[in-house]
Amino acid sequence: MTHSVLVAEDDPFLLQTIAMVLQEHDLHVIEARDGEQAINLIRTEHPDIVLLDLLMPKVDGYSVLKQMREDALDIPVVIISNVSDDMDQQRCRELGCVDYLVKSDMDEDEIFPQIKRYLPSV
Amino acid sequence: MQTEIKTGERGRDLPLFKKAVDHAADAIVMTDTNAIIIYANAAWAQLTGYTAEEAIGKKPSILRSQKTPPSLYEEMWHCLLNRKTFRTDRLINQRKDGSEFQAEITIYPLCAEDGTTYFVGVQHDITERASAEQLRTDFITLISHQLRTPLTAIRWATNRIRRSKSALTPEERNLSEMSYAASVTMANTLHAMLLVSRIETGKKHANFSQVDLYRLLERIRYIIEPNVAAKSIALYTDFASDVCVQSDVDILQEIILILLSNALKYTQKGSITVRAVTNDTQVDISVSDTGVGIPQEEQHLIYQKFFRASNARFVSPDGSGLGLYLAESLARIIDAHLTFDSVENSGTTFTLRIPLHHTAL
Repeated sequence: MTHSVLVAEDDPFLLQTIAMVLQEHDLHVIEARDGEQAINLIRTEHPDIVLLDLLMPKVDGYSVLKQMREDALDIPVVIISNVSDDMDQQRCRELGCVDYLVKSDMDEDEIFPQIKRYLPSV
Repeated sequence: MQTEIKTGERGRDLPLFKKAVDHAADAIVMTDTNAIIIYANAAWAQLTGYTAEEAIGKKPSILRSQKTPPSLYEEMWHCLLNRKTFRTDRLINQRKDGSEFQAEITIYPLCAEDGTTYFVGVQHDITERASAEQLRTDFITLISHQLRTPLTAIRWATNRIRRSKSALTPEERNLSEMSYAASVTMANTLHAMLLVSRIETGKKHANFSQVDLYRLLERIRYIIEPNVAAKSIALYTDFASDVCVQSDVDILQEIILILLSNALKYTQKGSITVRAVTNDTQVDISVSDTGVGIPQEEQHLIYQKFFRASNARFVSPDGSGLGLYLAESLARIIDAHLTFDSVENSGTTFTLRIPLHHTAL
């Protein structure tokens, strides 16, 4: 069974790259370019995992996390952001994210190994 | 904590003490048990716009603004009713004319000889400092997003080129390796700068938890191994599988990675050894190399921000001089101690000493 991942990222090149590396690992990628799209697609597509940027147009990542909590959606969320402040990390963890990755501190081919463990086992 | 007002023998000093309080540069206010103001000094009057006469008989809540979270007042009363000193720098107060200021305030209960409790509040205006800190924080946020996003694009794109299966000419390969390495260096420098800023603004705190040192050191070995393989030096490890410490796993990893990347950078031949030695009270994690060493006469300077040893500049001209400054600052945050032993042209050993029975506050 193919796992699906929703990637919310406003930078088109980064979104394309993340999608590409995850597709190479046979994941079905659902792309969202802002937080609003992300919430809508999470509700309709029920992905197995969400990869969420924090600073995005319209609705930011924190609000997506909050909304998911209000909707009682039990989907693991991994933050993938260039904001690395302890306060932001703590805030996201309190809002229920399972992991926090800093984009510029990692290579694109490290994303899949990092999120693999949160995918439901087949 | 209570402070007792002493009278009697020293009672004759009281007018002098009162004068000292009247003329203090910090705003001082005193209330009775019911929080009714019974005294305010000149600095308080100047800060708030109320004269002492206007204030006496009223409550300090005349300064309340809507901007202070109610939970802060709850926290304050909880503290004071338990006879403890309350401190905060998050209070937003309002002057008589309606203008607001951010106050750093200390309030403490004072017990007179007859058992009556009074409260003393000492505050000063930190609006300017707070707004400067806010500016600095905003600037850092701007840097992290505005610089890191394009940098991520460069890093990921060049990594895809250098790892692509299509044949690259030797020159193309060389160029892609160079741009990738430069982007990683830049990302690491930005990471270090942001960390320095968090430490210096007091925003970096330790999250203590039980850390399995064996797992941590194995993970670090996994991270660093590709960089070791790229050079012709050996990496030895010597640590037992059953050591746990109360510490902050991310900070520990950060420190050990700084020490290891330094060892790698300044060792041309020979080996690097990571060791963990435990006794009843502490664990010593050491990183030893057979590298260039630190010149004796420069050893006292190596934890200074931006300092780079003369031979380090020679080996690697583009270092930031932030690594050891960070390692030492981070060690202090987790109550660990970083020491070193180095002989020029022979090698260096850095040792991080972590107390074993640390009780997190």
